[in-house]
Amino acid sequence: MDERQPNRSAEVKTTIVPVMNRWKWMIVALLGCWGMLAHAAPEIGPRPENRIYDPDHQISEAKRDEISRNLASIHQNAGIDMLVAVVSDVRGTEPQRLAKNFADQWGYHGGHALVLFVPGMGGGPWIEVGGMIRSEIPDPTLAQITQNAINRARMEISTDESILRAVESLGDDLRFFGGQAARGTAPTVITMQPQAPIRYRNPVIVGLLQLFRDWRELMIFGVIGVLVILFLVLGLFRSWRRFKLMTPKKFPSISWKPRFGAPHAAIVYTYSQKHKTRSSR
Amino acid sequence: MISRPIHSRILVAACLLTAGASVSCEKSAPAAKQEEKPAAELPLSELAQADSPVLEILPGHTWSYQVTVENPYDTRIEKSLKGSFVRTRTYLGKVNPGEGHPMTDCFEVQAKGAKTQREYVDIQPNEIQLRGQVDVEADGAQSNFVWLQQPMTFFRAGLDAGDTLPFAVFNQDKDVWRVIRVIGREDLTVPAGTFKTVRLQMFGKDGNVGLRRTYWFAPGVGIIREEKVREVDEKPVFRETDELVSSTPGKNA
Repeated sequence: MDERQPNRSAEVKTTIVPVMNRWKWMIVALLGCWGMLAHAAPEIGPRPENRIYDPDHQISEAKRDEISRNLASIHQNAGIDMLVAVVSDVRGTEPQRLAKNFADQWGYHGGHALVLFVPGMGGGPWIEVGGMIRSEIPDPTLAQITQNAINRARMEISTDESILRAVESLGDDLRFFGGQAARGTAPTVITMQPQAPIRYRNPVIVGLLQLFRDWRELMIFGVIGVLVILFLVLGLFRSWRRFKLMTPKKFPSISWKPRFGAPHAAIVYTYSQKHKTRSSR
Repeated sequence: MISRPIHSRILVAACLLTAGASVSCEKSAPAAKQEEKPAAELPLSELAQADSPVLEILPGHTWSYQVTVENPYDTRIEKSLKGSFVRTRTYLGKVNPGEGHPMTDCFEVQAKGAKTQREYVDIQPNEIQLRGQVDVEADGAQSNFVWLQQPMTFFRAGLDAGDTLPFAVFNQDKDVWRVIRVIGREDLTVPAGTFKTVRLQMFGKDGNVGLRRTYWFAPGVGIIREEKVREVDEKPVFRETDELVSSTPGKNA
């Protein structure tokens, strides 16, 4: 029996082992990278009890209580589940991505917002809003709200105050604009510029303004826009040239006309004496 | 070829329907206008009815506040500076602010070591309007009198999240303005107790000095809590928090 049937394990060895030998370094490298990435990504533990995730205790005890009371009040009065995460190191992860991961993991589906602080890292805080809020408040207004909160946080000197003011600003704006959205009224943006404090902005205009503020997006759209215009101009030029070639051409003594039924399904021109010069007369 | 006429017929029908609807709306509009009543006679919503009267007080009514003042960054000591004191606000009744001005409700604001200030407001059953203010010296002399030609609404019955109150410019100076928006309703606990409040936010500019003021107003009770922040060049230079400690009703004369 054994002799008749082929030895499958031996076959496997003969077929897979050379492949493994060939790719083993690649596999080892990939596994190593995967392991390193798994180690590098900050772990997302269970949802923090008081809505503040601060494993390294970077917020003072007194401010922690005040922020926690604010977060609880926002949830109690407006149904918005707002959380704060303070991490000392993002371990190579993009902060906005990390904020989204925290928000997805901890936030209630009804409507949530997460404010991520990384003390010592520029460009923050990073804010992620999700759940029902996204369907209630238009995206341009939401972008304005998060930018307001970021600006308010950056106005403060200490991390404690930055966190508190960002939470206040975000909570107030979400409640105010949520109230306006529920009534179907246009968002009322209040600016602190003298002489023009209120602007009833069209969401599309708000979006465009936001785009102008974010120069990277603007640059991408600008390059795309230039390419599209270039493409259109070239297309028009090409069409114009074709049109020009199809129409009768006038030379001092001959004119060209397209002839139907030309071979190779191409436009072939014949010429005929149309304009006679004085000398030919 | 067949679909085009059908589409065009649908389009024509839609246009006719729209035109008809707009005509019918225009026709019904004057009828609605005839039934329009002055704002004061309009029926109040349930929320507004619950809020009214917004403030029913007698002369002598006094509110005491615990005030915390903070300078986020004092350049002299290179860190934040904090202080705390008690401020009282007493209702004096209707007074005459000065020649040519109508009788107006007046509050006297006092704090130890500070000038006494009088706030002029119009208290109506459904609305409180700011009218002006004046400083009162120790000898009774008045200074820094401010009177708003257009009164500014401070609170109105029935306000809810998303509302804004009319924008106000002071003394026709476009660099001095205030605007108020409503954040929502919430229960607030302070040393004086827990109150059902409306959270409002006032933004303003006094030249290059910005003002952000959040206040919690409990209809029928008064201001429960206030947070004021003054900013220069988008940096906070002064922060003040007032919390109601006690509210003592006035007595009939």
